[in-house]
Amino acid sequence: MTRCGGASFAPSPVPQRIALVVDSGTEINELLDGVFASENWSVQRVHDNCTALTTVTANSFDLIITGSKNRCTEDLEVVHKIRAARPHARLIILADKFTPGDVLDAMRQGAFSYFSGPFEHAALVDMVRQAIDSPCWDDGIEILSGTPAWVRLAARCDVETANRLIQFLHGAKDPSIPEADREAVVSAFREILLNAMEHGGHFDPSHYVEISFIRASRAVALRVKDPGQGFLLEELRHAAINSPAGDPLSHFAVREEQGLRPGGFGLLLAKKQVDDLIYNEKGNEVLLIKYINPLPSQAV
Amino acid sequence: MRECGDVSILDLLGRSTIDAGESELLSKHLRDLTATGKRKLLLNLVNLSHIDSSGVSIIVEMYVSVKRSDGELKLLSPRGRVLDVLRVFRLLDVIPSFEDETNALASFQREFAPRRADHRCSQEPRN
Repeated sequence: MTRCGGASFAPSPVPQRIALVVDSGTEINELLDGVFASENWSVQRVHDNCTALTTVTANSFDLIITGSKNRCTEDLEVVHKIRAARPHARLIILADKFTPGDVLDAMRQGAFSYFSGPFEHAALVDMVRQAIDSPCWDDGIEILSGTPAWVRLAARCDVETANRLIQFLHGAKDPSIPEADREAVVSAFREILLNAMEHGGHFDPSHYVEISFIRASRAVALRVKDPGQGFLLEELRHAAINSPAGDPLSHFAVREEQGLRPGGFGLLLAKKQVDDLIYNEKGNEVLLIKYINPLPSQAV
Repeated sequence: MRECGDVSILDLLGRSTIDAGESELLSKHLRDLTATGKRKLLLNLVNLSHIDSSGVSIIVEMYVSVKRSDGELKLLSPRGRVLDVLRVFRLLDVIPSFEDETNALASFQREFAPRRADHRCSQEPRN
């Protein structure tokens, strides 16, 4: 019989968490092993995504990372079945190359993140760490409607969800868009999204921003609508976007006067990365447009 | 971090972005340095691959703070996307930037000429 009074209790052992990782080659395997070892996670490695499916059906895992090298037929179908078998397990998809529609499918299936090769190691490590640390992630991103050319979604106002969404966009390595243009669009989107979540949604997880991605034949457009009261761009004296050309830091003094933390660079950085940055009348909805020059191989 | 005489050199790696939390980390490092009286800071950006507005804010904040303490913050070897971002804000017109570490270190000694310069550099990077 166990008595409570006067007994000394040992702390309950924390169950070791386990990740299922599909083989993606020595370099990525070692990178991931290092992350999991530092977090005291154990790792079970399988050869391909099909084996992963049979494994997750029989056992529970806290995090599943699909493989980019040993593809079996219908990889995304396997991912779908993994999600069906373990709907709340965090799933990070590694694809050897981007295929149109993959990112949308990954978001629809509730993947935690999506990467297409070549992989940026720092970003992959950051995302795995976020998957390990995030206490709650389900429902952060909701697809409202979607085709590969036009996706509309709602995203919860927190940094972790923003980070996941930025990586989904980063993973869409559309080969018909020059890499520099893709980077510019992701950079502008990052600034506008975080701005909307902070100032419009106050990083309140009960609030959502609404986002549209549109891929036209010669342009990419992104629309971000936040739940805030809006603002007038020309009245933002504390933002670099309104600093005079000869005094790029003048807004910093204004921020100090107003007791604001250092910052105010996001809107200007976003504006410089795209061709058009347009706010609606209320100032809570912004449209980014980047015109895409065809790659030399596509030019007529 | 390395030290060369009275100049503190921070070798930045990877990304300085708000979503990865790295900007917060950089801010803490810089605040710790200035809190211990360091007033000659050289940020080595050669291995910094990305920077967003939060990273820029940290650099500008520290530049302003150090300058008010009669110190100097300078940049070393910004590259690629990081250089592009710094140019967007015309920060290279305001914050001195160098391509060569020796020249950067020498510039600190010229500006602080009344004080005796100590040119000994630490051999091992410090954590």
